[in-house]
Amino acid sequence: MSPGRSPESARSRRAPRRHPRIPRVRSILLVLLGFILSGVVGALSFFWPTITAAVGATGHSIQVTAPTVLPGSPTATPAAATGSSAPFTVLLLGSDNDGKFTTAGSTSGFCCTQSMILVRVDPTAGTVTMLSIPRDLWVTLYSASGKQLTAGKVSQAFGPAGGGTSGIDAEIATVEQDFQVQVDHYVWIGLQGLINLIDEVGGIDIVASHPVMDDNYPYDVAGSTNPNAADRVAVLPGAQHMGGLEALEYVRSRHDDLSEDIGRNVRQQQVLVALRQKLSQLSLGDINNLASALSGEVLTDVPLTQFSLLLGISKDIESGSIQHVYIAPPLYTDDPNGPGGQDISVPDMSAIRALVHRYFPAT
Amino acid sequence: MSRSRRLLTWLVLLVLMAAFGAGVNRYLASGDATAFAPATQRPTHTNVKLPLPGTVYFADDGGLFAMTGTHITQLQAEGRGWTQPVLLPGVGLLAIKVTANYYSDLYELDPNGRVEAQLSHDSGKVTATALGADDWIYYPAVGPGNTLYFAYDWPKGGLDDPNNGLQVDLSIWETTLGNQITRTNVQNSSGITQQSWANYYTGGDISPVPLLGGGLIYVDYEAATDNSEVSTPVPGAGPGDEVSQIRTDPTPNPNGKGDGTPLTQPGDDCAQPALNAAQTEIAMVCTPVVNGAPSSTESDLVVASFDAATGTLGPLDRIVTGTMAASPTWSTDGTDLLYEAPEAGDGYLELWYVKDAATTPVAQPKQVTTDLDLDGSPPVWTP
Repeated sequence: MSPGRSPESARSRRAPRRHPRIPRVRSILLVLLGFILSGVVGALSFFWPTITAAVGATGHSIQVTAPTVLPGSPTATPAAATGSSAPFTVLLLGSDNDGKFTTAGSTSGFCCTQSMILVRVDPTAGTVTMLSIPRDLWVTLYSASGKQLTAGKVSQAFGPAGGGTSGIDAEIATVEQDFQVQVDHYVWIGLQGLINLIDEVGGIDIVASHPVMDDNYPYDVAGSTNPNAADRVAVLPGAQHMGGLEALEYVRSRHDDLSEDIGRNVRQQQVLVALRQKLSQLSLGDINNLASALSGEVLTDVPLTQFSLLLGISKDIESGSIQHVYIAPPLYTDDPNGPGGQDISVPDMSAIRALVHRYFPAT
Repeated sequence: MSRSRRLLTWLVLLVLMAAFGAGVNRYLASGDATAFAPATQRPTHTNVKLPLPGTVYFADDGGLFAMTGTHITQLQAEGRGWTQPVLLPGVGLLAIKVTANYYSDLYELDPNGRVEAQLSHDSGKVTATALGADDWIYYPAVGPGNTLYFAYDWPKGGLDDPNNGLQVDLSIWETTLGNQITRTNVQNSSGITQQSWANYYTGGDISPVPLLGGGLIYVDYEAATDNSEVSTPVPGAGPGDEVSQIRTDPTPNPNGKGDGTPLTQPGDDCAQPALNAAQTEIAMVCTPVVNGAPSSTESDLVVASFDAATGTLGPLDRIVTGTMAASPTWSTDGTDLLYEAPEAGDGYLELWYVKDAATTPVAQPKQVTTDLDLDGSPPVWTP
């Protein structure tokens, strides 16, 4: 204390010095908060397309009830949570989504699912099983609410239900009831969505198993207004880096195939394996572009929060741990003169269910 | 601190906050996986890591290119459908030009890539109702005496169902270089003769390789479960599975079953054969079995000795494994190999080189090019 100054006067000078400390702390906190908010806004603006796409595409709930258990079938349990290590089953669906048959007399404008693959993932064992369902299999169809309808091709439940999530629900109900299997989740992708997805990941690397030739390939992803327009396809065999359009041609062509749809099913599973290999390299920065590319072309009931887990599982599973299963003769016989002159596959359902239950046991 | 100075401080802080937000945004955007990179460089701007002797011709993204040392020259621009260049000794090249989703034709080019002649003429009927009138021509190969072999998608609709335009398989045909290849000439066997008859609904027969003493070897696609097509049963094969088998001396057989003498086993699923100049060694790609099942994402580079007189192969030596090998080509002296495979972490096919490929132990492959997008058709390696 300086000589000649009273303690009161000294206190009165010191007191104002204390007051700025509180605003300074507040200021620092404010600045920090400002930086945090700014960072959050920056991140949100980056992920905005992902968020909007996710709101539209994910989290749709499955509307159908659990399958009616037939005598001799394993008891199905409620859907397994993908968040646990319990095995779960996903139905992968690929189909037209452009309503191209509206002008051809269809009431719904949607045709059918071109591809149906049932996938069982066992995170603990690190295994994946893929089972392709032939699209011409003649089964009992079910509505989106699980109501039994008439018989038809397994792929034809989608259209009458109006496509979209209702069509997917109808396909899930049909698969669950006919095959006596519990579907925990689904992922549906449109034709353009598959092209976009493969292009967005920079193409896939695949060894094409044989020349895929087709003089009657559907010409419907390039803006054609004629639903019956055709194109020619020639995908040559051997190692190649395929873009989206070429990969779609490879998996979709079926007219010059051995055993009708089976060859196509084999190629579809090949492309899935190649795609899984590519997606295992996915990084945070890619998600946004991917979401933009898939906007409106993908529907799934898998919540956004579960995707990172699924990607993690995908990375952990070795290619050799993927089991490929096909429904093929003698599990069905082809009938080119089915109802309405349709080319159908008449199934031996008890044998098919036995196969399905061997690879897709109740969990 | 004065009021104005305080205001200035807050202003600076606000700018910094905004910059931080923008930085976070850009940082996230920069996190794209390099594996997803869509763009390769234009071939003329790529870096050649390993200069090779002679000139290498190759097809990249629908264009034709020539690589001499570290310099790459464009012969035909990208995006024009050019593929499958082959050497036409003393003249230049033959190459296929694809009009996407409709048809392809065969052209003769000089060494600088200028078109000298069009050797095949598609009908060009590209309307939806007449697509069956169009044809694919692929895999040209020139043999002794200017013999030209090629794969052509005729006859369509096999004998089992001749009116079924859905059956489109490639068979191998032969003509003399210079003859005009048209559907009519093929159909009427007018100077063009059928050399193989495809197995129905398999995609057919491809990759003819002429033999110096006459005849050819080729690749036959077969239903793996059809014992009348494969020469020996394929263990574990299921419906829908196809295999390729390298065969020699096909005999046109309208039954479309198992023609030619097998050189490889169907279970090895070998294709893309290339003979060295002396025709004593064969390089090819074969499918490996990974964890008990044929791989769809790997193909091995395989070398074997070849005896044209007896039509037999020696033991298969898988010299490059664990990758996606394609389209081997021998050096002129028949010792070194050039083939295509992806760069690590990037699926685009690049050129790779193996020195003394037929001598064990085989040297490690060396990457020749970067940032190419080869289409899987074999490169041409000239002195």
